[in-house]
Amino acid sequence: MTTTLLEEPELAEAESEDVAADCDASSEPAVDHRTLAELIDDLGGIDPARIRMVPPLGTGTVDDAEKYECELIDGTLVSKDMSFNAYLLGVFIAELFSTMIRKQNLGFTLGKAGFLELFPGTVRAADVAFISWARMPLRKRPGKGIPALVPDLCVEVLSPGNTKAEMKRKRGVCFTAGVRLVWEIDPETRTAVVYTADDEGTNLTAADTLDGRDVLPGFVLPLAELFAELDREAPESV
Amino acid sequence: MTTTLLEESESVEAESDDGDASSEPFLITRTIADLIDDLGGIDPARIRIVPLPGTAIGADAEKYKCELIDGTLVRKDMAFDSYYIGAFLLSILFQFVESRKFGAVLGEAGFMELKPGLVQAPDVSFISWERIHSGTTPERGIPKLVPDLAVEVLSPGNTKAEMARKRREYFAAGVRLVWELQPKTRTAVVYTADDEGTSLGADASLDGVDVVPGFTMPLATIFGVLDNLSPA
Repeated sequence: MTTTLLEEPELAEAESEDVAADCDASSEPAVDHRTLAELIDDLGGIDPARIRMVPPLGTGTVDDAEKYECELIDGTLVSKDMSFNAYLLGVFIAELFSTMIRKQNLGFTLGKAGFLELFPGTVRAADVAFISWARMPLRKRPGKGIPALVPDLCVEVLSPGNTKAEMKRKRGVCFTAGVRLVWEIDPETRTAVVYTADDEGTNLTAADTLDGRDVLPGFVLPLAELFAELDREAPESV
Repeated sequence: MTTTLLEESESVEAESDDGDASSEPFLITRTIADLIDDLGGIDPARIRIVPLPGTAIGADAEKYKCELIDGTLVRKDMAFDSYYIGAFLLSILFQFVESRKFGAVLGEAGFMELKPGLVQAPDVSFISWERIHSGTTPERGIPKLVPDLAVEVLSPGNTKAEMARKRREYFAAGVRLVWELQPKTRTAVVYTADDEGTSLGADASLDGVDVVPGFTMPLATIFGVLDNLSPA
């Protein structure tokens, strides 16, 4: 029969000495052209001093995040940026949250070291956060290590080192994980933005009021009162 | 009398008995900013993160056609003017060296491993036959060579710190002469050691001294090619 004609001639071995190693796709991954610039960009163009090299980029774990007290993004440890003013306003809000949340036993208030594993391998900490009992498995207090919990409400007080891109990415992560309300407060401009979705924000000025809505019902804080904390001075000596 | 011996050994032990923080290696606090700083504050777009900084080897440098310094792959920064001047100087130097059979002249694609973990490609390099014979020039893979002369034509992306570090590495590896050409001012600096540089004004000449004996070339001639680029 003429099957021989129909058969494909056997290809000569393509693996001659001249073929560059790159073509051996089975053992080598495609050439990866990632540079530090792209990594920094992915993280929102933040100060490279916030990006830790230990553990090696892309290999960080939740335990590392706990050990080094950093956020964990794409396997890279990133330290939070926090100016003194931002910290002060965080404390102010945390104190008000805490009083209300404890009195009504609604859940927990977390501060800037309240690292949470929002997704497997993603660890973030808002400057202030509220987690209701309903979001805790079996309504029990978290055990050891970084809890895998998603807050109901996140408050971010911006520091000069925070970039728009960084905060946008963080909001995206929070809302996708299930956060219901995010407040972004800017001590510099004395304004705030209230987000109910990562791209749905309402601008507030110092004349407006932060409202817990149905997320933290009954919580009301006039921004003027909050920002007055930035102007508080030492008492006159008698 | 024996108490003195005990005291001595005690002090040696006490050193390592610190709190948690100091028992960790200092590397723990290293950030990307430190890496960028070590590399001379260059554009992070030139720093590859694959392989991970600190883990790259010579074979990676060859694969990605990058310079290798401290286990990190760094892309060369070049600009058209730098390529152009480099090409011109390469052609002149090549002819000179070739006719006198001094050795080999390579261009900016001439990647070589000066010492384990250090792969560089000077914009123009001259390697004497002696050094070629004592080094390796394999059919495949990065040659292990230390050039006698390394020429760097500066481009806008090169930083002072980057070039200072490069010179340190060059001279530590055994390079004998480094020429740094600055197209912006049409001047140059000649180094015989990493901190021993002589400035050459626009009307001065490059001199091969005892490294490329007999070679001289006015900077005006070299940088003169840039005038070809301007509209008549």
